[in-house]
Amino acid sequence: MKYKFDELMEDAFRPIPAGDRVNKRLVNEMNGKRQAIPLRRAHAVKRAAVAAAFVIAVCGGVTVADAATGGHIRKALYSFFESESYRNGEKVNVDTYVDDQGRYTLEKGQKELVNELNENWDEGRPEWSDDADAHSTGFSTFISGEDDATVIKSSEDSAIITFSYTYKNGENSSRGEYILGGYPDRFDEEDWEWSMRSELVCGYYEIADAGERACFLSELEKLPEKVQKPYAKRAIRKAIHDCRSGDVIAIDFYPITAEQAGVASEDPKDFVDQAWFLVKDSELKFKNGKSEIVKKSAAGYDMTAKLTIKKDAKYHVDTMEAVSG
Amino acid sequence: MTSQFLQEIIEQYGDHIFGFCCYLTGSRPLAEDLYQEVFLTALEKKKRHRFSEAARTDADRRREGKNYLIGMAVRLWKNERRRAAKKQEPSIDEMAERGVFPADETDMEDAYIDREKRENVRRAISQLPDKLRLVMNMHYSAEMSVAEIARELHIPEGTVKSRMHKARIEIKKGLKVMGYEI
Repeated sequence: MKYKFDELMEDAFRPIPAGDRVNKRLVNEMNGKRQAIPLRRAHAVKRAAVAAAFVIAVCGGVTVADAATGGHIRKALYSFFESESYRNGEKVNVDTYVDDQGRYTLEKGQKELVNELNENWDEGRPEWSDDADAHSTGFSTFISGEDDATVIKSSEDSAIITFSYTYKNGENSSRGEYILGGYPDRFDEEDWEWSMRSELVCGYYEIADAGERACFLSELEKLPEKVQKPYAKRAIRKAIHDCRSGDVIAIDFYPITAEQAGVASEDPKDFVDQAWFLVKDSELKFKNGKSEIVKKSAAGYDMTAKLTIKKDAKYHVDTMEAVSG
Repeated sequence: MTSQFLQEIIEQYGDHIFGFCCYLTGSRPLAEDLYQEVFLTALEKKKRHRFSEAARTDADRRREGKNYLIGMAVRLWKNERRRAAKKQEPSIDEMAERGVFPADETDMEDAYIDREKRENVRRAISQLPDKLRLVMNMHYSAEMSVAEIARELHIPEGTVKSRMHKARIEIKKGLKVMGYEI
């Protein structure tokens, strides 16, 4: 059979739709609409999505909410990847923690948010402790109630929870940041779940130096069995090895497949890692209807917090402060 | 360029520009980054884009705008590659595996044959040197004429023509080896 050259070329180079998600974000950004994750940051975030599991292992979880008391952040809530259920890949222990006195100075609706989270998350409150031994896995957190500032600020149509941290290991330190949020334009009933899935939990991790890389790699070995699927491990290793001092390793919890992530996998259609699901599910595991609860819980709040993680014998979070409000 | 104008370009040429980015980067995530970066950079440019005299209608201006964005994509990608110390080009198989290319939606058997043919063609294209591949990408995926490519790449039209000519010969040669009759 004889082919026409131009037809072959046109077929090979046919247009590829960018898709609604990409275009919508782009148009929003061009129109100056606030994005939960600005595009340029999202670019960075996307690049090393595979490091997600790693950071989870290092940092021990995802902050979900916070409460302010008298302008102070008293305690924050955490999900820990410390339980057997997490290690079995079932769910993430996410909970809220409010001031230990049970006091609130929350704005209207914020208390409701925290209560709702408390009621609807599967696991009970974690036992807060500054004693690392309390947490058998070594991923212990304690957040001191230093500093001021209001953590939560309201917004009519969005929910963003952000926190950043500094991870210290001896002389080295890194910074990371998680952003939990959704796009304002996606806060409608139908889209919300999708938005949560794809955008809710993101973060990046800044690598300080080679020593730290080595440390991370050793942490990698401690990852739960499921995370240590060969391809995930390779991907994480690659992400860590590829970075240079000062680079940002991005962490992305997009539910993307191995092939989308450009990660070698025995099954390219498989998701990059169970960790993807773990984190994703941590946001979607509401018992009484995922999207409903998420939407109800999250609507109307912005939240930004910052915390520091230090490493000594065990990991723990020692301070937390609001960075905006 | 204004947001409004860029949105019009997205509507009319978004798929072409994104396709171009996909073929250029060989990766859908990278293409998404590049695609978005191109528009944002164009939006942020303080210097107003000057359309040629030939661009008299809105449609002409959109087409020129598209070409301008394609040229910008090339420059941004070159910068990115320089920055990343020239990452290894993905093979056509890797690109296919990564889901860079759109899925076939036609009859299974036809789709299979078409896909095989398409992949072979892409394989032949992937063997081209960068310069030759770029002009082919611009010509076919971004639907740019020789003059438009020359303008965006800041090279003479004759150079574009000769690159395209060489590319054609090479691709045909490659396809012939695979048993295709052109």
